[in-house]
Amino acid sequence: MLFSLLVTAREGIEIALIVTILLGYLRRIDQKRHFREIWYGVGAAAVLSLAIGIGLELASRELDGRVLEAFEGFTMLFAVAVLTWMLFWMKRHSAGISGELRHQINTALSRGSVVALTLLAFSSVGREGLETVLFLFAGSNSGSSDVMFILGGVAGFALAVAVGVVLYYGSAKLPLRQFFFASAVALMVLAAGMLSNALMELQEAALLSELGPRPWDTESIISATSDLGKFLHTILGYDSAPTLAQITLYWAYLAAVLSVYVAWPSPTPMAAQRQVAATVVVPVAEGE
Amino acid sequence: MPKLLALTVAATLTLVLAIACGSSGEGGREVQITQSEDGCTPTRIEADTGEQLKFVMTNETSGIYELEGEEGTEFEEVVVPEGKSRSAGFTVPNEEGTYPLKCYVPDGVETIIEIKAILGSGSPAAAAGDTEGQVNVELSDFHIATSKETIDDGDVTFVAKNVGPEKEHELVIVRTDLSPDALSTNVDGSIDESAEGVEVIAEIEDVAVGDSGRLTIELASGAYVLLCNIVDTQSGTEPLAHYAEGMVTAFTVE
Repeated sequence: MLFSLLVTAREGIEIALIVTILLGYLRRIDQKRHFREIWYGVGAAAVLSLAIGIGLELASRELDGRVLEAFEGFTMLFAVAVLTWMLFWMKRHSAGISGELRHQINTALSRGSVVALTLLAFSSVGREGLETVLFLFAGSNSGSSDVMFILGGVAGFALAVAVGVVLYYGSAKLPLRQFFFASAVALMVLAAGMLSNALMELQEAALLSELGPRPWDTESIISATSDLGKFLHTILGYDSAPTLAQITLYWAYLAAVLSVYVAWPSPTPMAAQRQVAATVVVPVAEGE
Repeated sequence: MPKLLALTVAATLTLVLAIACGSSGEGGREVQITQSEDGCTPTRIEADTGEQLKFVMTNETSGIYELEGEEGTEFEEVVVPEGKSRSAGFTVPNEEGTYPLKCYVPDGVETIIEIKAILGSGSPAAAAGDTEGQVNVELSDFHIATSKETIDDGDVTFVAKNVGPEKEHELVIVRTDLSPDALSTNVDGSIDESAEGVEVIAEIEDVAVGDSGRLTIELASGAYVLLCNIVDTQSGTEPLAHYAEGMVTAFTVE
């Protein structure tokens, strides 16, 4: 549940931010009548993401045994790759994202193309939607019950919608920058666990055989088959007797991405300030 | 920022604790499952409907082994690392029937373990004790006593209880027209289960002292023999065949 909550809250707030920037700008330039096109784009992106999610789920139900495990393993690896890339992309581009979107709206409006607005909303929201679906799917086969998993996802989105509403009406300043930093770190921890789980899936699919010795066994402390064990398996990739390859990959990934993420240079000091402005103040200011 | 981080950590810890305290202890009857290079044993587990079981899987091989539900049996996959033991609970469904589990090495040997669920002792039929279609069998060193010598054809439930005092026993149900003491035997004194005129219908294997085994099977009318075909072998002593010691009795299905 925590897993799906974290993923949808983070991705949902990214979506809320994008939609708020789009709507806020249209409102400022007195083009509120184009709100409809934005919502069409958001709706289409939601439908596409949902369709892909359902497609992945159905595909995994068709598969069986080793093929299923290989499918799950590779989906996890892919999800980790996409997530890692997106976290860095977001950090690098968050500074300019607001200006960029406004620029694209201007272009769309000046060409008089209404479809372009829909496409703009569709592509910016769709990318986040796909990321959400991919990561949720990769983390869904293990862990808490289906109901809790879905509840967590819905709660995360509800939180995102609330944030979006607050941003749009500009009634409060939200600590978005802090949220993005904290959630990025949390997602990296999830991703590290997912990498370790992916190795296990690939071993179960008989695609990997030698993963090295298992230095410890904590089954008697936290059983891998207990509720707590399964929960930690999803969140942290807990395995009561992990192989050396899993341990190494987990810590190597975490150390690498965390240190690079924290040390990632903001383009210029000015851009760093703009980043704060773009993510926190601008949507609020535009609401005036 | 530190406030937010602290809050996140606190929330996570609370959640972990809540889950840890909420997770129920795994009780139930322990069933040992051995995973070896040649497959898994036992391949058949008798259980009451609704019974709580705890599988203790021991992987004796040098690679991973898995156990999971097959054909709709609700048992989530458990991976047992090489040389390790893992346990997991399983609640036998309330419906009578056979629930298969798949015990396998990825891309390697595969064994189907059947969980045979029969109406539990808490159920009305069992509570009535010696009912119409049921034969209670008492296994002892070295005698077999049955609650009835004849029964109507159809589904017959055997409940075999080992009253000891020392040896492990089994109940083999054999269809044969031969007299109980005239079955052909192997050198060690056990009966030859593949001999002509002898057909092994079913068996309740390995009933430890004090334990009971239960088996429901459809029997056609005819002459049967119930016996224990265990042979105790100990170095330095003659093999001790329970059959030769007298663990055999005639049984008729009408």
